[in-house]
Amino acid sequence: MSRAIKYIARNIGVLFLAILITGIIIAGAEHRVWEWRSRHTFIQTKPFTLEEGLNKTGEYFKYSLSLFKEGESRKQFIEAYKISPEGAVITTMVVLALTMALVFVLGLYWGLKAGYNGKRSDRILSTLAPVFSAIPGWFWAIVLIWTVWWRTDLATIDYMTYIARARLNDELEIRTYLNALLIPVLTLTFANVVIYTFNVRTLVKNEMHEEHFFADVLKGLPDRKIMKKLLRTVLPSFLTFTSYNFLNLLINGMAVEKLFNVNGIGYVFATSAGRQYDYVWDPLRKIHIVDFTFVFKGELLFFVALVMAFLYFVNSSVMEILYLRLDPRVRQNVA
Amino acid sequence: MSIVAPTLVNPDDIYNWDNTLYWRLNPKNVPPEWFGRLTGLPKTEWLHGRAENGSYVFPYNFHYDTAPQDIIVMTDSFETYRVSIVSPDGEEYVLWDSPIPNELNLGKSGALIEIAHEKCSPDINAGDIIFKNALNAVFSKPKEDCITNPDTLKGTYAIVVTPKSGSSKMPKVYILGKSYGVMGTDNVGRDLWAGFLWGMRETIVISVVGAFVAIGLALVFETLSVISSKLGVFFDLVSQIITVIPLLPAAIGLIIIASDIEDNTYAIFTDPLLLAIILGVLSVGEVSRNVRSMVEEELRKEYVESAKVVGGNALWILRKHISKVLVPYSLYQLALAVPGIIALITLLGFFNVVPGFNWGTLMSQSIRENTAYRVSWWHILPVGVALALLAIAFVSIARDIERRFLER
Repeated sequence: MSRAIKYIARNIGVLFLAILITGIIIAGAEHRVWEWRSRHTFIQTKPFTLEEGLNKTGEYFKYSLSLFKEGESRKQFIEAYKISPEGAVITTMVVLALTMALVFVLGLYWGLKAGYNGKRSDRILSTLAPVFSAIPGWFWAIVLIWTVWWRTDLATIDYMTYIARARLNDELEIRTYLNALLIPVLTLTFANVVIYTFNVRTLVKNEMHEEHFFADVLKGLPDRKIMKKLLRTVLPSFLTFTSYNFLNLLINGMAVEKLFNVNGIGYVFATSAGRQYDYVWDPLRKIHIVDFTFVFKGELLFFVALVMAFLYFVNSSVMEILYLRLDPRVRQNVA
Repeated sequence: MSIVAPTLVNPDDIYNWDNTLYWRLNPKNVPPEWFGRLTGLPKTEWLHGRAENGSYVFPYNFHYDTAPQDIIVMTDSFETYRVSIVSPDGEEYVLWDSPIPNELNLGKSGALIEIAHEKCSPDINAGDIIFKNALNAVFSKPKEDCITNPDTLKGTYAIVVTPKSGSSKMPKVYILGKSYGVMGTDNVGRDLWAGFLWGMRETIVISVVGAFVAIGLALVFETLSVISSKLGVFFDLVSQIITVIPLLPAAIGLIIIASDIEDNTYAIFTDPLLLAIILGVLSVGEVSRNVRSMVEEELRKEYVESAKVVGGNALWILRKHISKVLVPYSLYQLALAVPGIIALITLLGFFNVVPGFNWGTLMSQSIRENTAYRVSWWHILPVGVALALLAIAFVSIARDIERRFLER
């Protein structure tokens, strides 16, 4: 238990430093944007200092906290994103949780089968693994849009509109949300399952060189029992891999939220910074022209960074606690 | 190819990437020419004319399933011209008989309503001319729904431009087809092949340099940690912090700090080398941890213990033993880091923060223009396939290095 507490405390310390550094970077970027905007005015800009960075980080943190209390910033957030801040966080967590559940189940089953039995299952996996690790998650999102949605009209590619319509028709229930999240979750699962599966397969193959495996085979234990034991042995290492890979999954999840209009933190992030442009009609030249704007909302960027850090902390703490419970060698050392 | 590719592109295309006027002559959102050839879509081309009996005749070899988007006649002088199209079966359709102010879009000619009424259906109205492909009325056989579902008359058409004054320079005739170039065009008419080629070098250079930065830093961290345990604790903490730093907000913040933003188009200009360093530093966390676990595993081995017993110091062990394992492993990590950074660049494009001009730029505008929802596959598929092939190549290299390393 004390090891778990020590681990969590260390994690908190690392997270605090990471968030502080991120806050200073975002403050620096906001200063830069302000410098650029003041370029053609008479406003004199001072150089960015660490003190300014720390003060700004403090302001961002206060803003992030104020989003969870009744007030102007919370009202503006809800108006802009059609969801409360905690709702946005929960939406992202639900997307990730559903994805990880699917990836765990499929990954463990397929990985165990491929690693233990080998043959065609392993060959397919070994061929697919480098391909899938190379192709970005958004690519699968677009493939799924064009196949699942265009061809079959299954589920939806616009989460917010689907939920709004269901709310209007008084048809909002758990099934509605699940249906609306079907394609985003499938996308993330598709993008990640092969990589996780290959990891399980590699771990299983490594365990099959250990003495305890040969002992089980020589004892004549049935395959199911051996596979169950193998699974138990590789699960801690798999959890470690999952923990390390969580941030990749989160980042891909944010891109998928943007693509499918899921109002989670990815959607908030997408509208917080960057070049935005729309086509507007120019009556003089009688053509459509591109109208550009540059958006930078440092406080919202920091809020997203804070949530990302929080999700990472929750994930790594949960995985570490599971690891400590599952790995008898660690429990023995602790004892 | 990435070294040669940008030399195949007209730099003006990239310089005017956001200038819609520059691309006005290109068809909007059309697939590539090779796809058009397979599906019967007319290609975009200039016609070559000849002077004949006081007129300029431009033969047009039409063998497609649908009419071109438009036919543009360009003149040097403001004077009256008679413009007609003669079909292979000898029918002449007069589309214009008035002054031409530099450019004339025949697809918007009012004469097409009368042609459509005669050939197709009297119910066709001005809305059909404006919002549908009205030139189908000229290029199809007589049929009720010739505008929306034409049965085209294939053969050689002649576009005849007759100046009323009798003496003027040869005008130019441009067919605005339904296919263009190697990779088609986007909603503004931009040549996607030009963007793809130009962006290739910058994307690959940034990724490779970034990967070298990540691996270099990881090697420095872990080498110093072998020499000194205090430095080891410090660098372990640094790599943990970098791993945990929220990547996207930090990347966007650092890119904006290191960039200049253009006044009118708000395009972000970053030195590619600086961008590579930023992305490399942000990627060092994971790489460093992988290298560290490899180093720790080697340090636990018996031969290292033996080396310590006979008096070998940290530097000697590092040079003599660890480096033999570390170098091939680092190459393996390098090969994996390159596709990771390429993916990060396209992801930044996804979120509309695109420094410089690279494949992230193409991704950014594709997502922005909602092409994913309109089955405009030529916007995304070529970039996606190129990314995948590039990444697969690097991952295959990495796996080969890993295999050789494990065999040793």
